[in-house]
Amino acid sequence: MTKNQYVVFSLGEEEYGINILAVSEINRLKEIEITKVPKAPEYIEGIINLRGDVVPVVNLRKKFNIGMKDLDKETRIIVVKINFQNVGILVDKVGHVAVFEEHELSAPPEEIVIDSNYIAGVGKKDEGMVFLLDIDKVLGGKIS
Amino acid sequence: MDKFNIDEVYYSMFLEETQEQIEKIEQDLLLLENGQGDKETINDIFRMAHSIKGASATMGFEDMERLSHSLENLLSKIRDMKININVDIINTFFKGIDKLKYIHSCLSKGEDYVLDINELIEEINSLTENSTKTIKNEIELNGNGMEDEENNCKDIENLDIELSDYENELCEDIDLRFNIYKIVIIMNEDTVMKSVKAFLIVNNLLGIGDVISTDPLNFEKICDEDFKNPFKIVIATEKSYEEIYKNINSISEIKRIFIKKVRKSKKQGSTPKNVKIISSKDNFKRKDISTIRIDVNKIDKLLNLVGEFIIHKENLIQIGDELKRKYKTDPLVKKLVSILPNINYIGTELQETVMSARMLPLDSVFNRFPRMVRNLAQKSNKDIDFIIEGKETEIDRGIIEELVDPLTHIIRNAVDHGIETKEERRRKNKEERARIILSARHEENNVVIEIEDNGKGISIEDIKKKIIEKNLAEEEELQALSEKEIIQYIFEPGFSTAKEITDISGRGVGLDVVKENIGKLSGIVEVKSQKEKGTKFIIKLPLTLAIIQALLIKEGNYIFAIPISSIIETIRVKENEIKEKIHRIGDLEVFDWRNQAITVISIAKYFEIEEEMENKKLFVIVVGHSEKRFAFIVNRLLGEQEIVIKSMGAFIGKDKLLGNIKGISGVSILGDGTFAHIVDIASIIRG
Repeated sequence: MTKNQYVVFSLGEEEYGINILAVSEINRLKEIEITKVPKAPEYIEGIINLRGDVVPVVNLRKKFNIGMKDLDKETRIIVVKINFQNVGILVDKVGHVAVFEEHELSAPPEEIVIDSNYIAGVGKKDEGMVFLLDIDKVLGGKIS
Repeated sequence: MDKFNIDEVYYSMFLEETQEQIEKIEQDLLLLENGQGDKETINDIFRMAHSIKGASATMGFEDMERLSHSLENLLSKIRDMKININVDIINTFFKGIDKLKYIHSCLSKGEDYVLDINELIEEINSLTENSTKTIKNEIELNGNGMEDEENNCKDIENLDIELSDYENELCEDIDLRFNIYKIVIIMNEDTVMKSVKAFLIVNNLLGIGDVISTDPLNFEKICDEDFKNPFKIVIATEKSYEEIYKNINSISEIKRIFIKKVRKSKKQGSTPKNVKIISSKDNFKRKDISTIRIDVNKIDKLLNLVGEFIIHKENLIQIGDELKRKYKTDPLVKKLVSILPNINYIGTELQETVMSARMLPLDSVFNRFPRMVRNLAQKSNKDIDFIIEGKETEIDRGIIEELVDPLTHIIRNAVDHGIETKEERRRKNKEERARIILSARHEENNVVIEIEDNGKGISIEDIKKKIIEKNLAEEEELQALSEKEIIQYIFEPGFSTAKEITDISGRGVGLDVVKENIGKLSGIVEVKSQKEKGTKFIIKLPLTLAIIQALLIKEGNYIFAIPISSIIETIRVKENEIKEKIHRIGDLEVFDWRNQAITVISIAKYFEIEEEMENKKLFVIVVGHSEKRFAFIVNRLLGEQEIVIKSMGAFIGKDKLLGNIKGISGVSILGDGTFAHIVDIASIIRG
């Protein structure tokens, strides 16, 4: 049931999930150097060289307006594929893969820190809530 | 034959061939209209219409068949001189071709189409039947008399049914107990896919004997147009005339068969032990370069890989140099250093080969314009000779696709605004028939495309008026400018001197877009004009977009690459010279370059990079953009290098992830895996 599997990662105190089907790979920062792009929007961390492919990296903290945090050894770049284009998203750390069945999902609550448009649903587990992201919307549908 | 699916092969062959035929008809029609066509041109069109008819009938495309049939009827009347060609006929013919094109494009996309061709067919038929009608605007043919049918018959009698020397040689090795026959087969002229027919014939004959040779030799590869009718075969067999005749005649669409026994068998009664095929070897006769069609994506993938390879190659060579310095005497290092030049050489060759595989002749773009010019000229009652030169010039396919719009725009402009009406030209004592020349040629590492007309030229006064009207500049400013500089304003956004909006141009898309598009291709566009003499647009493009020579510079933590093709000069300015060379005038800084004051642009400031001012000296890079010169100020030069361009087009632009970033046209991956941003000079200059 890959359909209901989510890669769970954290930004600050909250946990978020991306459908595993959208994820192509997860990279550590020590293996990859991020090059800044002059005059790019603030939430663009830069571009990376993914085996010859130029992939822009979005800093999700900046995109969601959650306070800044220095990059550390747990920082990861999750590469997702949208419209045949790879895009990286920078997150604090990647946890595990979780399965959420339909009945474990609920609509996003109204009082959440980030734009509720970005949330496709909320997965509930014993340990807490995971906000499942609509990654197309997060990246603004702004990719050709 | 059962090894591959005939239907599929037929279908794709059908599509390919009809497309070529339709295109050829279109070109021939234009020739006819210009009076350059002759009897042979008409025959040509006739043949092609005929074979389209045949092919579409075979494939069961009724509309196509009916349409080409009626066109063919019209043509046969023309051919027999019962109707003279005039503009009406050509126009109707073009309409028919358009419909055929439309059907063809739908078929190739596998789409259904809705099209009513009855009206058009009636129109064509009425032209055909109306053969006595008096005709206006007659177009003359450089006719050189009647030929055909009669001649054809003679040809058949003169058929060469003896063995050629080459064939004789082949026959010497054949066992004497076989008869050797030479067979000459004439297929119906309208046979579609003659090569397939030929294949069937040969295949059938292999059942009764050995095929020694065929003429044409590699008939499988020959397309219909080039297929030499008759098709000749030399066969060694024990069978009789009748059996051979029956064997061949079982195949349809064969007009006539001639068989001659050229050598009698010496021993009778023995049977061949086994049937050996003596293949028709490719020999010196073969002239064509064999080609295959490849998916463009594969070439692109290959190019990407080569790009990667080159990056790593540069890296490897660097490491080799370092090793050599460190461990001079180590035999392994010596070995490594000795093979590195080979790697380097292969890399360069690979790159060039792949690049050349991406090159296409410009004719695919150029060929669409004669028709456009013709239509526009007719609409605006102008008489124009449209001349194309150098359409075989090759350029990267990535560039070709982007050229259509800018060229269309410039040529439209030339027809609509450049060329005067017939009356006007008469008044001006100019030749009534105007001329537009579209030409292309290689010049060093560039392709130069020119569009030249002999129309009224660009009026400097009109431009000045417009500039002031549109508030693009003040009158006093204009006083100081040369005509050359004033004319550049036609490339400004929002500039259009067209007096009225016509159907043809003035759609709100101006020459600024042309300039921007050409700029995106790292090209430049210039204009030269002389009042009443004409206007000439000159477009200079790089041969390829994928790999360029660039100067790498460093500002803060960023590495930028400036295309060498735009750099005119690099000047080092020492700390104590800065004041005397760079002057401040209000907000503007200018650099004194060979007694010419040119605008200064600081790369660091432009990209909002914080400078560490430890470096007191600086470099001025003089870059050229059309007629203008600019001084880019940079802090560090890293050197010149070949770079592979990676587009970021998918992410840059309004509403895209990286936003509408200005000043960067792409990136390149350097030897150590980091990026250099490729500077987009055109957009930096625009500010």
